[in-house]
Amino acid sequence: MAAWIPQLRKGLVDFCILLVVGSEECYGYSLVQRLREAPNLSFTESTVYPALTRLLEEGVIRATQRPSPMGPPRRYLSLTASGKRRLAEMSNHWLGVCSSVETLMQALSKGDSGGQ
Amino acid sequence: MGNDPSIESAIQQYLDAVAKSLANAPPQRRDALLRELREHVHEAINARTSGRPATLQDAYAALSEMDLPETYAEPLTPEDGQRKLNPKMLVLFLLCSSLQVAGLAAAFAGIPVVGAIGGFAAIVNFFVIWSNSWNWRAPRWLIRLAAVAAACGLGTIILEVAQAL
Repeated sequence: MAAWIPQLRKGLVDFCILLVVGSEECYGYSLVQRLREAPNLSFTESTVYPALTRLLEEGVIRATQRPSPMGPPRRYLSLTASGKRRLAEMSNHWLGVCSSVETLMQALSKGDSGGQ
Repeated sequence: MGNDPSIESAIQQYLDAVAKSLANAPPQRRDALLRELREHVHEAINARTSGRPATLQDAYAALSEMDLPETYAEPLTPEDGQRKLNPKMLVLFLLCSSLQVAGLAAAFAGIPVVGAIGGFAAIVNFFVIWSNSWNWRAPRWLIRLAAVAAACGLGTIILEVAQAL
């Protein structure tokens, strides 16, 4: 795997965690499973848990313990008010980044077709 | 599942290895991460057994699918990762600081040669701080400590100059 891919993923891990926690009820294991299954992201425990722990510490995410249908109680994750704000900011920024990159890619493809 | 000592022992072995790889992480964050991981392993084992009693093989299978313990050692935050202690710098810092303390005492006692050495150590320590801040990326506590030591050394030089005049 090219070295830049993990770097790109690392930059996105906070955003992706907030997206999943903000969109569905989840706990640590289900969050990792959800992110692991996302195509082209493939986050694993060693990426997700350090970031999740930091986000919990920052008060962006809160954990509420509830009984589990099997096994020990689960700590369900949800966004705090500041977490919702941060997710909104990140979403806006991400859309802006995507738009800029898209523009650059279009310019590249036009340059390629113009040069041929 | 959770009551089987052999399973708990296998989980603990994995968590101990993770804890070892996170030796430089802030203790509170490391403990929180280990708690999350322990829950994760239990869930992973439960997902394999689907209600039947878990065996040690289930635990090993679940653990084998997890990341290697050393992979958790990657920076918990960009700041945590960048600041690493350089052992050579630590030796230099401790040497200079000792000389500074001796120099300060000598300056008060009116022994100019030792005081001058202390003053020279202060100058070296200044560069230690400068290098740590920009190149060696020392932990913040060490930079603060070096700043205090350098301030003491500069005090020695001022005292020496004042006595000489």
